[in-house]
Amino acid sequence: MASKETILAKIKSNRPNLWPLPDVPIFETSVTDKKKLFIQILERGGSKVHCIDDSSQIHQVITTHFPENNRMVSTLPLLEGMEGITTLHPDFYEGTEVAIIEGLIGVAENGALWVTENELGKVRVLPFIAQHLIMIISAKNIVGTMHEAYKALGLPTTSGFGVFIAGPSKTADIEQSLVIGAQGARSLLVIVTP
Amino acid sequence: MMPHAQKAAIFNKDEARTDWHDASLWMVRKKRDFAVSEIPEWEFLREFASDIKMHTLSKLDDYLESFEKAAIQNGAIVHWAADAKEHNDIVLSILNKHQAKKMVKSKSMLTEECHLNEFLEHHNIEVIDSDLGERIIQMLNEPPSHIVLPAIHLKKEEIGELFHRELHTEKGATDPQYLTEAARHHLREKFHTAQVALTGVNFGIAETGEIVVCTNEGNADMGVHLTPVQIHSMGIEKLIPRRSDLAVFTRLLARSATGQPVTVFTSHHRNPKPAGEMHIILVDNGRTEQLGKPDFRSSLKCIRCGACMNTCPIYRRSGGHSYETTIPGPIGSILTPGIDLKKHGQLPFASTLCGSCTDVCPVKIDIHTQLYKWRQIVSEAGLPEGGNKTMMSIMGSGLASPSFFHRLGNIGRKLLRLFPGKERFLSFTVWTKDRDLPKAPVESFREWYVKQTKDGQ
Amino acid sequence: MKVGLFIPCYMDQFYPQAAIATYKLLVKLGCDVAYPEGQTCCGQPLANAGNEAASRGSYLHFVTMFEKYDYIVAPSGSCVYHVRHHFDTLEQTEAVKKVRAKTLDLTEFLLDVLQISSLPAKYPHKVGLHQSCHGLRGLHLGTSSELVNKPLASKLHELLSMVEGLTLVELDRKDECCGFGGTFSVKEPDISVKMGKDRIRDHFSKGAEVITAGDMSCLMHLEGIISRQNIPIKVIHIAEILNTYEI
Repeated sequence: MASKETILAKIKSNRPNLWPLPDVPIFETSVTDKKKLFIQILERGGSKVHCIDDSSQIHQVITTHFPENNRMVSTLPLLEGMEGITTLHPDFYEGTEVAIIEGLIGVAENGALWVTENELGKVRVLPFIAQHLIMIISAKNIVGTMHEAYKALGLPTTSGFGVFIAGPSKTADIEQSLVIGAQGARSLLVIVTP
Repeated sequence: MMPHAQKAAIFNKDEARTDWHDASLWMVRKKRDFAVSEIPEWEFLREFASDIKMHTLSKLDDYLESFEKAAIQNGAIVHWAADAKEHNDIVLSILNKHQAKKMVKSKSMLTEECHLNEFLEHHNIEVIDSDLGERIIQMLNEPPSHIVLPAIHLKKEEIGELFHRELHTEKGATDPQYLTEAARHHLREKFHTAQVALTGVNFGIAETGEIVVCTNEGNADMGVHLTPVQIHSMGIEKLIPRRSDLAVFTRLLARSATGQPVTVFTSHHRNPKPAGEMHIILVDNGRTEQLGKPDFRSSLKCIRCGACMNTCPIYRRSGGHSYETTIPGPIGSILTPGIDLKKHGQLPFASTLCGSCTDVCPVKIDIHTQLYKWRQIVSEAGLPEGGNKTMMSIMGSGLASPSFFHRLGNIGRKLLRLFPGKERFLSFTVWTKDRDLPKAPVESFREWYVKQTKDGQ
Repeated sequence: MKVGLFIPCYMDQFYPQAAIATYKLLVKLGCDVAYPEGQTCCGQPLANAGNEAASRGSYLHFVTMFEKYDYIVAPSGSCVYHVRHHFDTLEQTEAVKKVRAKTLDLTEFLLDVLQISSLPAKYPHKVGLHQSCHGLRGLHLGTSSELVNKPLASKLHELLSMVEGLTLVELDRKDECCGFGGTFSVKEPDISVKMGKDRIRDHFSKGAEVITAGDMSCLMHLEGIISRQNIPIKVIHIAEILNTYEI
């Protein structure tokens, strides 16, 4: 623990005088149609968005987008032909073609969807390891900005991992050329329910 | 160490390539301009971010202790490292404890700063950088040339050739999509076989003990969630007080860095996965020293977005490697002289003090003012970059003396009249290598003014 | 209103026409202008090279020369920035404080103090405006392209819009540095020249016949490259454009 004491002591002698901590207002978006903005930003970032009128249509939408009989893992109440969480061992999920999970909050200004390990059946790797990702979100849970999102999230109590996902995995590390599908999911389909 | 000017001159020998490098980064700057224009409160956010960071620095000891307490409560193991060596030793001890021989690593400028890879490789640990750009330069055995775009200096032909050699892609293949796909397969295997994953940290939250990692590729998450042991190396200045402060910083970071509205993945790690182990290493390595320098402490506000590099007209035309520092460009030139003045004292001079870095900085670091102030310190220390002190002091007296000053000016102008710009006489000077000197007029303004006012009277 | 005219050292010797234009323009606008003949240099060249301590003498001399004037006007944002911002290392006597506060760039003096809203100047040419960095980002004579949601204009734009016949060309990079940078121009000559070349190409390719700026130092650097490479484009200080009229 010697270094801890040294570091803290050095900070005490070197830190500036107390600087006030600002209260940051909850900046809201000026856009009235948050759902529209959310969809627009997601599509700009390379995601697909499908809006439905009724949750019962989810299954149909999924089969429209992924007609082949691939390995699909869902943490939602089981849909026909899909696999649920059967083990917490992460390597088991390699080979998952499509993962279907629920997003808790959508952020209109940047198209990000918040999900915690609770929605992942505690398999934190699921949205990353799957070749394709489907996220389902209710339009009611779309907020304008990150300020509103963090306000809605509050402090974490039941989850040890949470992530904002704003599109498919991507990179531009080779000559700034955008490539979708780097290490994580190659595509993101967001299904917006009422 | 070769002077920056010399490295820059070499970089500029291939003008087409310099133009290409400049244009690539300018495109990122333009994307950034568009992204920030979508946020009407942008300038306020910069102010808030700056204040939050300054506040944190002013209570950094308290916040570090709160952070540690919360992290331990969450089930993480917290380590403190005074310097790079201690950091590297801690990483090695964790690896040894788990008899791990293979580690995947996502982007971390801190581990670059600590030269962790070399250290671990020396101890027979295989380290795999999992960010595509990092993996490319790791295979080439080069340091990153940019903190966000580590392989921005490379052409796809060069990467194609490298991948052909290392990953057996088709010879001559240069399509980024194809090359990225090859890296994806190569790295998938690594994620599954590594025993430990290490990440950098974008933000540590004092009130929750969480650490936040931002990536686009998802590589940090692949590593962390697939391996039993996760390590997060974090500079002590990465702390912010409240979880809600992330709203400010996540809005600023990606827009400034790449022009995206947010990084694809913003991961909040609070505790280890079931049956896993989570380590957080808090690293000083010179940061407390910088905190003690009133003129330079605000450089610790940096969130490593790289916007100052993308906007810097010198960086764009000299490349990241010309700085010979872990963090190149304007921010590196104010961070590194404090670590080794003799080695990096030349960098504050690799700037025109145009101030673009200051205006683009999302946390409002007055980078160009600090460059100016470092110049004074370099000169006071008697380093050659600051010029010959005796000469400077004679010149200083000359500039304060009207008669000396006027005589000198007139002599200069008259010499120029006798030997105009293109002539051999002055061609040895640095100025005239690629530039002509001004055409010297017959009379100076002063001479005109004296005549004018006399005529008028 | 007594105006002390400060003419940067290199302008005095090499660009008297820009200094004369500044003087004549101020006289035509009714100012009581004097050029204190004992003036030397603001000290910036030494200070930017890291030798602030050695330039102290010239700072003090500057204050002595100019403290009696209501305003000190210079056709150079860079020197004005130096006086306003870097004379903070002097003991802040009343004289120092006054000189720092009252030293203005020509363009801000015209617009903020004289509050001119029109000029009978005529300049029927296609002009490229180079935004000199110290004026733009240091003195905030305009909004730099990095900043958000403020009109992307400047005092120089405002003044040039008053000039009859003048057309401003649209640049790809509205406010990138020209690469002069004082000491930088000789410490890093290769990048300095490359930056200058790139700026000139931007102006030239947009059809500019003339590049203008508020700082002659940027233009001196650009002119040096233009002359060496025989590019058919000229440089001219903004004061010379604004002074293109007789009463």
